[in-house]
Amino acid sequence: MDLVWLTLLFPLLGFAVNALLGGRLPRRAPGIVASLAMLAAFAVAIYVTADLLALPHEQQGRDVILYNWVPVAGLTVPLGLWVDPLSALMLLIVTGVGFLIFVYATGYMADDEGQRRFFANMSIFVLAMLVLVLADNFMLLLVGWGGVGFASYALIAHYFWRPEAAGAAVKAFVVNTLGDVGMMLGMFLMFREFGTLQYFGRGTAPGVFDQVAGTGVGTLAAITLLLLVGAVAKSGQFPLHVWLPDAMAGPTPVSALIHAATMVTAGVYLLARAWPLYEAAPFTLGVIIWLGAITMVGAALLGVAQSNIKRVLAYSTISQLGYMFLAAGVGAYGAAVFHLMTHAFFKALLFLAAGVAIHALHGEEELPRMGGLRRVVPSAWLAFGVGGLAIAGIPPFSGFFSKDEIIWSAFFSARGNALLGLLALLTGGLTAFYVFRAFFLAFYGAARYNLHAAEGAAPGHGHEPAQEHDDQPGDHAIHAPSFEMKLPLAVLGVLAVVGGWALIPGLTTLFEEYLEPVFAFPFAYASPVGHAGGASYWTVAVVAALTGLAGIGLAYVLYVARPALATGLATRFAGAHRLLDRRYYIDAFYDLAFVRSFRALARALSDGFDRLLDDLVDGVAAIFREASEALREVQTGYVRNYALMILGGTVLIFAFVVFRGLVQ
Amino acid sequence: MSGLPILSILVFLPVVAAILCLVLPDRGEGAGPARIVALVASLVALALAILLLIDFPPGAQGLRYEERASWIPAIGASYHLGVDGLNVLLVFLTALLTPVALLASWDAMGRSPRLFSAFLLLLEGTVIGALTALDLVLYFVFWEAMLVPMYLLIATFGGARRGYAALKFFIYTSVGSLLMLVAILYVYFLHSAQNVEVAASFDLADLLATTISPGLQRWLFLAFALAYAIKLPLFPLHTWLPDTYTQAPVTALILATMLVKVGAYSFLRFAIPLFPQASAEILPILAILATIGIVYGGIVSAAQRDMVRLLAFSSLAHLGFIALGLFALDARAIQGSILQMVNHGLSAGALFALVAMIAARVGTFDLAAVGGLARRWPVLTGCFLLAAFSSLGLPGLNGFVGEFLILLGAFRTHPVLATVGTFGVLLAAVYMLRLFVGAMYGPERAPSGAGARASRDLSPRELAALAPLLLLIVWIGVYPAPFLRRTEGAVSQLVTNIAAAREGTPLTIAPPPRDAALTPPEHTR
Amino acid sequence: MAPLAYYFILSAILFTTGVIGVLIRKNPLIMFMSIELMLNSANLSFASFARYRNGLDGQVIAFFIMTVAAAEVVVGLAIIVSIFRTRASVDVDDVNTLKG
Repeated sequence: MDLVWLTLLFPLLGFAVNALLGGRLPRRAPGIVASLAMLAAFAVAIYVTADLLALPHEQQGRDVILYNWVPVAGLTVPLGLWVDPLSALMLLIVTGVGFLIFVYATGYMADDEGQRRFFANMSIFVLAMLVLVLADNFMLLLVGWGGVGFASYALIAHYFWRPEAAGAAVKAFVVNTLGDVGMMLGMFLMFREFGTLQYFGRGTAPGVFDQVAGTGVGTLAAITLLLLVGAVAKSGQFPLHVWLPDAMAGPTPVSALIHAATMVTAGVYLLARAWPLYEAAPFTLGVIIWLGAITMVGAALLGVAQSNIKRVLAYSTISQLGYMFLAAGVGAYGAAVFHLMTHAFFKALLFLAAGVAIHALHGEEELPRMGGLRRVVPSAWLAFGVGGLAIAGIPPFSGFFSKDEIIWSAFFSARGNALLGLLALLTGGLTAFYVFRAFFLAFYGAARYNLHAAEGAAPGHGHEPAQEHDDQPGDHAIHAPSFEMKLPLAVLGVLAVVGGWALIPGLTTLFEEYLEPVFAFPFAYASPVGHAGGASYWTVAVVAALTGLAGIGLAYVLYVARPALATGLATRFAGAHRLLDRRYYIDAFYDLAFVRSFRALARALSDGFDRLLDDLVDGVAAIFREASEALREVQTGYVRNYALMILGGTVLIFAFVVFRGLVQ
Repeated sequence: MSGLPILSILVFLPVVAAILCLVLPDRGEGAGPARIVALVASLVALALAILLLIDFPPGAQGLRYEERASWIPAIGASYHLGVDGLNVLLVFLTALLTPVALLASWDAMGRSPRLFSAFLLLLEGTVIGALTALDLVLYFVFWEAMLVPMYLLIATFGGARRGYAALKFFIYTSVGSLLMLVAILYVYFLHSAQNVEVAASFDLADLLATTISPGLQRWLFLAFALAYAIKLPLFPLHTWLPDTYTQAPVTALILATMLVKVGAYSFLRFAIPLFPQASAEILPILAILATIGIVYGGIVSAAQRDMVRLLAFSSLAHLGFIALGLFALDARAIQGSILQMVNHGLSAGALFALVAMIAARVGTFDLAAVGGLARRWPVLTGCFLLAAFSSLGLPGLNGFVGEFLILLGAFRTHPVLATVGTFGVLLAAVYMLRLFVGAMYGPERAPSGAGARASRDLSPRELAALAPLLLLIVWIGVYPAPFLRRTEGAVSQLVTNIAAAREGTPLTIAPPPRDAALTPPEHTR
Repeated sequence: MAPLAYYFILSAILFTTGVIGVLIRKNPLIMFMSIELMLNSANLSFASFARYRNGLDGQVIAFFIMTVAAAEVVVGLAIIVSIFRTRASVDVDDVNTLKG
């Protein structure tokens, strides 16, 4: 277990090789080097996890301290890695799914001039993400937190010459920095209150979580709410979700790894990690529940109206993260983590499958210009279908088990209620609908794409502008996925099917046992209804599966069987469609309320106020200048005038001396 | 190393080398041996400064490498230098930035490389002098002498409005100093009146023993604080800064940022210890100004079109952080502030160098005229990215450690100000990305006629100038412990002394329950 | 010996003559002579005091004043010659280059 630092070293090596000497390596080398590094990290992660699980349950939580990172008077922050089942699971997901996506990217990015930069940034991302999940204190967590934000920025801006990519990168970074500000404030308050930033105590010194009992509810609410700002920003929850759909401007493997499988789940990880704090702050939990619920429903509705396949998946990610927030809010931390894991599998799969389709069409991402791809790229069709069934919650795919756990918790856990449960159910149906809408639009029907038009004009594909106009004859064929792109699809496809089997109520309890050392009640079984695969659970499960099927069925009717109906509905409910199309006007509102007004304020301060201040300073100088203008008249330049003044001065001094003597 | 008067060498080696540079001839445009002499001298000074830093024991309290000699015995002024945790990092930073500035200016020294290098070296010597002087007359001499090479740099090599800028810089910053001189003399006479049996002295250690009534302290502290607040600069006394920075030769700014740090450091060394009660009263007000500076500098910076002006206002914001940390009078915040002074030297130094390199290629500082430059120079872009994100406080790089400690400490004493200040981090992201993204991303454009240089990536010389800064940016972010440990002793002592000097006032030194002493990696099995 | 006051009265008369000379005459040479007059009135006072108090200090200072006066004349005359060369006039009312 002490070798856990090796998981950090390998991505670092992957970065260093690419950044420092990548220019001298063969063309495909960057991807291969980075992928090998990821494989090594994954191997270490497996070893560490096995090592951890060999321990008795009560000892499954180890602090591996590398060195004292920030030692100052009255505070020592170590560079310490906390290994317990939760962080080990995240470690496995990040390195494992990460490795698959790296392999995929070696194929996807094979023609990209910026491969070296791409894989260097991807490696930095993995490094930062591992720091995030392994940190044993909040300050180090923030390093990972900020680091993934940076990597996300750099990768969204991979095609930096496109204004929309540059803009999306800046938007992502600024929104995430807003989250960082919230987290920092939470940490300052935490330090003020507890005098430490460690999660858990070491030796005699207690950690943050050890001191929750006896702390004021108001203080805890403030700390947890401030931390929540960071989680909401990172996980794309309402109202800070606006950056995530734009982030799709990055290459598709980036969307799969960062903006679906790993980074955006950091917020959920934080809630799960800091659950002792959150459990003691009921007000915050209420906020989490409702933010999660609003995001879950709102983003699912937006997913219905998107025409870009990656944006559909982006809103789907936001919506699924809403599920996880909801689960954490009602106390089902285990369910949140479970869904986090299965979501990593099937969402990565969906993105990679979409990537195969996009790659095949030379970068075409618009659903209206796809169609009929089932025969063209059958691997993508199969993978997207499996992922779609998993996210729709159709048994026995993984999403069924993890999502039902959440829906059940929304209904029946101590903080759940019928409204939350119904919203979760409804969203399940919507999810099935919009995913299969994309599925049917892309893979069925007539082919609507035009490879000649897609070339050059389409965003999101890895050619440099110089090449984009490089019309090689022969390059208008479909790009068939290479082996390194298909292999990850296969592995993730299997995982998307079986991933949920780790916890089938009444049948397997693997996942529950696994998380037991981390949470007091991983699955909110402390609910009045009881769970463990009871009648209430199976009722919910059946209803949820039926809702999912209904969603798929509706999508089939609207987009395959009777396409005219869909366009009819869109014109019928033009207002609603417009509202969804404009993303509820939230982006427009932010643009007006923050971006434009900030610019105006900055202009006013710079051109108005600061100039005024400067004029004041120059004004003081001007006073002296004017005064000397007046006084210079005295300097006539005539010797006799000066002599007269000397005489006058002498007389005055003499008079003063004499008269002072007289007065005394 | 014990016998060597290392501090005197650090002060006078650059001065002597500067004089040597002045007598060496200029041969044609940008040539001549003066630059090489200057570079060698600054590298020797850097080597000594590194030795000093390594040799300085971590956690040490009290002064080291003290040098004391009689200077003007008639008035009790002495030649007294020394370093402790408060200034050892800054001495090192000054010695580091000088060769960097020389290398970055190598081709930008205009008509007279000998003058340019001589002024830079004079700046180094006087700044190190002001940083290490422990006698108030000696300190004041160096403090004022720093202005001269800076004035000459601006007036000789500056932009179109260099005369205005140089004069404004000089007069503005010396106005404050005069009041400080009066206050120094007042303390001196007070001290000799109180201690008639001993000889009068300007030595800081002697003057610290003076008893000054709280009412009087207030005025004296204000006189000192005005000088430092102008130098820092604190809002609203900052207006000399943008004018000076935009008119000065940009590569000289790499070193010139040390001037403002001397102001920050002087608070710790002189104003606060000399007048502890008054500082307890007045520092909270100054902390408000520092916080306004963070926010104001951030907002105004975001509106600038000129890259150097943008960086000037970003310096205002950064110095606001540093000042807030100092004024919080919390040990962690002060340690963070000292580290942040180093960080600002590194990141702002690198940014000024990079902006100068970009401008040398495209011929303009105007952000609106350039874009998409990342495609041309990948190495330069990478360096710029690192420097920009260091400056905006990205966790994992140096700026984060400093800012986090400052705000963490300040939050204990001034929660509201620290909260407002934390939003400065967000503003930093906004203006830094405006600079970086504006210049490097998007469709490629640059003024036409930029010439053949426009296509060249960083030369080995430019890389050599940037490398040490970028290396330290990463190092301090990942492993700041060697730097922090060297400041810990002096800062704890300072905070304890101040607390003791103003009994009855709530102390901020009392650390929260301290973490268990950390032993090296705990082996789990 | 005449009373001390006589010497002072003479000294004051000489001094006042000198002052008036400086103020009303235009020729710099005359002004110089007036200045010499003032200096020598001071000399007279010093010498009288020295005699009166039987000390040498005053006489020593008188010598100093003579030296200073000589130096002053040297510099002053050089300036006057220089002015005359450039302006062909030595009228002090024509010379106001130092006007502020």
